[in-house]
Amino acid sequence: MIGLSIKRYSWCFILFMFLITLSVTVSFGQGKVLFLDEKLNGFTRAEEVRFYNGGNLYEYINGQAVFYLSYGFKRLEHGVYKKADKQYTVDVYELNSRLSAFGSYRQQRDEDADKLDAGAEGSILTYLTVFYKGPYYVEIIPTDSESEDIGTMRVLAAAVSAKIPGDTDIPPEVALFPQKGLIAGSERYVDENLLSYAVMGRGLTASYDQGGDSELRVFLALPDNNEEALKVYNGFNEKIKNGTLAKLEEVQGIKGETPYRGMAIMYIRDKYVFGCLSVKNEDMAASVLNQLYGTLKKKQLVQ
Amino acid sequence: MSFSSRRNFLRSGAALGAGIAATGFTPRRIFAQNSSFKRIAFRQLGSTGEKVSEIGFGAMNTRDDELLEAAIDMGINYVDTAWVYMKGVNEEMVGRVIKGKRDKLFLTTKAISKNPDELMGQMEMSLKRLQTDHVDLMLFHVTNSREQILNNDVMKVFENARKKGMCRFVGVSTHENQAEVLDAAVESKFWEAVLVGYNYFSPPEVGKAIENARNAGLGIIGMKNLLNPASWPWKELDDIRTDKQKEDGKVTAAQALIKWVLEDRHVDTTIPGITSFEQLRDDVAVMGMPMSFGKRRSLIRYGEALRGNYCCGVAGCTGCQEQCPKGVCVNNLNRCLSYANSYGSIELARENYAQLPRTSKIDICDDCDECVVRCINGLDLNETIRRARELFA
Repeated sequence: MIGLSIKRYSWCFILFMFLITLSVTVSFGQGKVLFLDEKLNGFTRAEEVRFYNGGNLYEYINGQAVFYLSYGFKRLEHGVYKKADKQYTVDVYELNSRLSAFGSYRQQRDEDADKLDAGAEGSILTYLTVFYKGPYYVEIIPTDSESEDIGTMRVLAAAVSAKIPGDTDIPPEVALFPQKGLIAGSERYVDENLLSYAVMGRGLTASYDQGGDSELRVFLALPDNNEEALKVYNGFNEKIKNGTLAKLEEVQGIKGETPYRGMAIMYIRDKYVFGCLSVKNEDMAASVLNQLYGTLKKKQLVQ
Repeated sequence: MSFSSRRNFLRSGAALGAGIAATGFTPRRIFAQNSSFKRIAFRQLGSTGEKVSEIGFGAMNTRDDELLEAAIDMGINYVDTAWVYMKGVNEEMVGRVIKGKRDKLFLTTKAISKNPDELMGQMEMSLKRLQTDHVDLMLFHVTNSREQILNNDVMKVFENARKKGMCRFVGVSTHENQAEVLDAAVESKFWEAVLVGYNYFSPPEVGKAIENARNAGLGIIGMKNLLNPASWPWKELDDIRTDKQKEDGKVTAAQALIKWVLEDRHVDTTIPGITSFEQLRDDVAVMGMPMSFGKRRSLIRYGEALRGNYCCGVAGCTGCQEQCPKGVCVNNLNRCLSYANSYGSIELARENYAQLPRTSKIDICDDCDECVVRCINGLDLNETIRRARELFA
């Protein structure tokens, strides 16, 4: 009888310890090294990994934290790696989604930088290497000018990329934009303030060559539901002056002038609000929006 | 709130503003004559002789060219960026927008490095990105100690940049130990302006150091006016306004906080970060806004709503440091608790607590019946300890 009780209490104790361990793991999950191992393909970590969350990212990068918070920042794993006389900081930001990581990358990458074969997209300069993979945005920065070596950074970037899980493709939403006339690499994504209007929420933009120095800017707002989409549509409608009705197949829209972006055209269909700004060539604008709408239908994203 | 209703609101407050000015609040304000806004105001930036708009444009997180373009058209002439923002893309954006408008603007950028030898390279790169041959103010970015401010090697680089015509004026930025940095900047007799974290909750010594620096002729640019973004309670505070109050155009918490900074006549300009047209509209409306009795009351209401739950450590307060005989940093505990109190995230609070040094753990407090540390702002630290025990013990 006593033996049975001891056995029962032993199980209880084991279960209790398991739950304690589990709760500690969950509570301190942000402090667990996920990617920045002590050794990475010939590089050695020079100090303990540091972690930041939405509450203390400010302590690491001051006001620039606002940028990452706007992309749904969750966690930063920060490490310093050495190889021979070279040293680099590696920052792995976990953001809201693949789209958020894409948005953060595209907003900050230097268009003249060399391409980097790491993650979904990457670019490399002597003083900065950036790429993204899944919801992770990664920066590698030499700690001094002696470490500004592109070859060494490529090796480190490849090693970090290999540790990070996630898709190595560009997010599928980006492919909704028609390819004809698209200025390569011009697609952008923001989690808030699309076109710098709070009312527009999250969404994508892309630029098209209209000839000369003129670029047509196409946008696709991504509200959560039809009701929110209507708010977005009505909100942006307020910014359009001298509006007249526009039509795209069976879809009603509006066409008019905006203060800093010239002529704008906008449509709403189900939970999607799309349109373009800086319209110089109406035929071209109509063609791009037609193709975009066609893609939304083809992918059955709208009824 | 629409532009017109806000303008009407501002007009109606003008008479009260004149009364307040008579009671000693007399910022050096020169109202613009040619702006589309009637109340855009400028101040002298220290002894530089330059007039800058009371609200500058903090471009750090701005994504769209049109937003800065709109701000410049509205009359904002102080534009702030840095070599490091958005990995340089931010300076490129500013460069595109200011092309053809450069002479109307007071342009500031910043260089940052522990190694003075790297600063000149950054400055040269900044000018290239900004498509200009000079900036008006070049700041040595993120300084927090007297040693940094008085570093001869750094000063030589900045002096060299000024001699070469790369910048007209030189200064520093500081996010912590603001008072020490400001005092050192005065002592240096070299730096001409300080970009300083300064807000409603900044401790008196920061305000005093700003006053001394301004009286010594340094230009003072206020930043972090809306508190630490990591503990942005003002988003919620905006919602304190009823729909009726919003319709009536009552001042928002963000506006009141910026206005509080501008009420200090030793501050020459501020640089709220602007990322949307809505923010731009609200921030611009603060310019020339008289601090009426109603607005002051609103600000006090917002402030007091914050103060009960809010540790001012992020605004530079060091009032409780070194008071605890056992060495516990109560402000660290408060910072962790703010994630639970302001964000409603106990998980976040615990994660931050887990990262505190051993000397700041709550079990050290077990030896004391009552906390002997006293918050200079009246925060109930016994409640802090009780709550910390509840969440972290």
